[in-house]
Amino acid sequence: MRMTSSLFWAAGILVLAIIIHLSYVLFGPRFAMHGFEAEAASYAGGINRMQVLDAAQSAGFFGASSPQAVTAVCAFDLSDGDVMLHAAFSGSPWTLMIYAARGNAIYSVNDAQAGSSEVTIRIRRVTGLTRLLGDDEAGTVNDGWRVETAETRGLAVLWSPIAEPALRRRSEEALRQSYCRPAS
Amino acid sequence: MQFPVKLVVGCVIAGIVGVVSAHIAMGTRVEAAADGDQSWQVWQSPEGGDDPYLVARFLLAGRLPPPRGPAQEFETTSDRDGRPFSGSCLYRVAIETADWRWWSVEVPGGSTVTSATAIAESDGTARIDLSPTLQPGNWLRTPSNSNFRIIMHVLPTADTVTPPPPERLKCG
Repeated sequence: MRMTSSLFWAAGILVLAIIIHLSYVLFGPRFAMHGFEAEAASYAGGINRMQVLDAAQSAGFFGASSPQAVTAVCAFDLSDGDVMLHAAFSGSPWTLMIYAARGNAIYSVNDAQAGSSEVTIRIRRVTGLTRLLGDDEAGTVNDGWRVETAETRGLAVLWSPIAEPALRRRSEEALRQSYCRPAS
Repeated sequence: MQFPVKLVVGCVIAGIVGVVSAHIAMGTRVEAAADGDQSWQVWQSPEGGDDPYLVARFLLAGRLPPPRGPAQEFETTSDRDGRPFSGSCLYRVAIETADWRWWSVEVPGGSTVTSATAIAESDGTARIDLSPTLQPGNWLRTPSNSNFRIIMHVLPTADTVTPPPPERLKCG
């Protein structure tokens, strides 16, 4: 009887430990990512809006490495449809990253891959059913590249190191031409 | 032992086991950046692609995962000989700047030197000294009374990157 009881408790603890392990790994990053999205939205004054971060904001958002780079962020929400993302940089190198709500990077492009200092991307939500039924619009994109995600929310990050600290203002001015807004 | 007490103890044990095992799994995503040099390490998924443990490792530490592709991130807590960094020692990282389009070296929580701000020697090498006390040239302040780590970001011109191992110059 005592043996059976001990086994019951051991099995219960093991199952609970596995649940906690998986919850921690899968949901912990979502909470952390939600914090990044909320911070980006507060800087931009809302979702689906791009904001170029100043040096102090950038340091708070990214950590110590950012003051030597110009950065912009956009927390996007695809609940009401596609979002258009346009990135404009003053020079190279640069990187554009798009993260889904669970923190995984769903897309990245840099200056070497783009071959240009500007890039426009349509971010689109696709459901499993949409994928299954096929997409009639596939291949007819004429307003830039397309990124598809199963998630509703996410975060876009534009990053470009500055050649000299004195050039920060010029780089920020170029980055301000970037936008993030609902697709019309 | 009463049932409620057993339940609470069981939940605590399960919680500790669950969280600790998650951190152990996250820690397995680190690899040596180059053969024969165990100082620099790179965080990457053994299977490639999206790895929830790798994503969790960065986000739970309050950082966005680094960019994929050409940009690479390296991390080290020890010098060329495998000795953990000490706040009482002077270290040097010598970067041959011609090999990389852009780079940065930082002590988290401290300062950063990048290819844009570094002073290069006549041979094109940028020597970065890490010490708690001011050094001539490129200097990164390190904590004086504790161990620390260095993070390097690189945009290379080639596919493979071998970061230079940090050398310990003197202590005390």
